[in-house]
Amino acid sequence: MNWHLLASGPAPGLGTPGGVHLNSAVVTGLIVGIPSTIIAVAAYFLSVRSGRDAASASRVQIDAEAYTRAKDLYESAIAALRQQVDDLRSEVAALRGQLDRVTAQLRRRAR
Amino acid sequence: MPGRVLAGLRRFGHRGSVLAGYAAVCEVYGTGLALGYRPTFHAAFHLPVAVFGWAFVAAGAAVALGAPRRRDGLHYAVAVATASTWALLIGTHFASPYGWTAGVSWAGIALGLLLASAWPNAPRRVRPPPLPDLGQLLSGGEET
Repeated sequence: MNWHLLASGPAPGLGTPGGVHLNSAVVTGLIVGIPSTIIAVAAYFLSVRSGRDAASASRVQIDAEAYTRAKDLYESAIAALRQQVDDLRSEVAALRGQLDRVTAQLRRRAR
Repeated sequence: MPGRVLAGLRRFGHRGSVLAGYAAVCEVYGTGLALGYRPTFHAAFHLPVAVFGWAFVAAGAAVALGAPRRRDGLHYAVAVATASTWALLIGTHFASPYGWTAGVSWAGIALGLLLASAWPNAPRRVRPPPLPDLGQLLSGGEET
């Protein structure tokens, strides 16, 4: 099929006497122009959507990293506080033992 | 030199790299058409092929402007429009027996660009702020 002949003259049967004369160049122009325009518009909207997706993906990544860092930080703080509580408990137990001993001595002296 | 090119492309992201590569193709191909290369036909819509060559050069410049930009929708639209228009022009005007193969190749390029336009760039790594130390955390940030 000699497709290139489409652009060389009026297409048979497409001309309307007294109306718009639709020649083969116009038909070829429509064949070339309409799909190209549709595809270009699709590419534009796909680009805009992918830009939104990229922005939301980076937000999710930043949130995930912030969560991990905050989790590490708070877990280390909680561990340090637990250690302090354990130290204070053992100190209180030692002081309670000393107090019991001093109380017992004072009671013995009082008798 | 290749390292510098790769570093530049990495800064553009893969979307910008695709646009930069296609812009280079447009410039070379358009210059070839303007200088006398003929894709089996000499004119379309009463315009000589050299005019389409200059159109390719202009489109390549417009596409190249989108490579470093984050909002590259219009540049992708121009890229896809040039590739698909040229594919359809070759498909409707080819004059040699296997001239349609060039049209199919350009349709493949247009399809690749359409797919690339839908791919989001990988998120950029953001340098996080420094963590407060334990003393600052326990004192409620009063030491900062």
